[in-house]
Amino acid sequence: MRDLGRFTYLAWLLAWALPVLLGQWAVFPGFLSRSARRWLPLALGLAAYFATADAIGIAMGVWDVEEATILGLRLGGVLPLEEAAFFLLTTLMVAQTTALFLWRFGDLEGEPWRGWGLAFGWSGVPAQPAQPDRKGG
Amino acid sequence: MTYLRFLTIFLLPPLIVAAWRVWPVLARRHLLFLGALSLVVLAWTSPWDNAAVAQGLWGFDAARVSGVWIHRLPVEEYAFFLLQTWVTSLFLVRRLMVRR
Repeated sequence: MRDLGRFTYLAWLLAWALPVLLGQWAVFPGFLSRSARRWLPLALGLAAYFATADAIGIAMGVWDVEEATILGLRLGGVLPLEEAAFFLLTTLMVAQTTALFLWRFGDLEGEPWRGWGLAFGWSGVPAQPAQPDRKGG
Repeated sequence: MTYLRFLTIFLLPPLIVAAWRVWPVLARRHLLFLGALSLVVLAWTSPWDNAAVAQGLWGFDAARVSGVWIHRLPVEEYAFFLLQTWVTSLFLVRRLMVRR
């Protein structure tokens, strides 16, 4: 990996996180796009908080990244861009996974779980059952 | 600042707030989900984080960690990504269950 030079950290991060994030979007694009307004803003806020805490950890010398493996852009002069991206992508992985499971549990108002047959695919509106049925989990 | 102090200052308070806020709507299925998610996060992140240290992408100040290491990571590092997972997931459970 080190032969990627300044792209090493970024490549290492994306190769690890994107398969999860994009995989979930590939399988459940309809649900994730419909529900994003319910989980994305909070996820972004939490990611910003974790990144800020991480910057303090770096400033205090608890850990640091190898300068030769990062692009060199440090937010606020402290936080490597890659570290900010790490907290964005990890928080999104947890947020999306949580939203998907709560959907499956039937916990989401306005997003009843209607079975695997209707869970996949792209739809701007919640999939409607062939016949009205009782709301169930 | 030690790594343990970092976790105590920056991860513990939000975890307490998240647990406090989610408590009224938290059900057994959510705790089971969180337990399973924790195992997946450990299995997905540990090898990746260890390999990154082995390749010299990042490292820890040995003077600021407890001295308990699992492979190439201080035990605090595992605690960090589990705490981050719990804080995020508990806030999200609360947010997703309470209103649209």
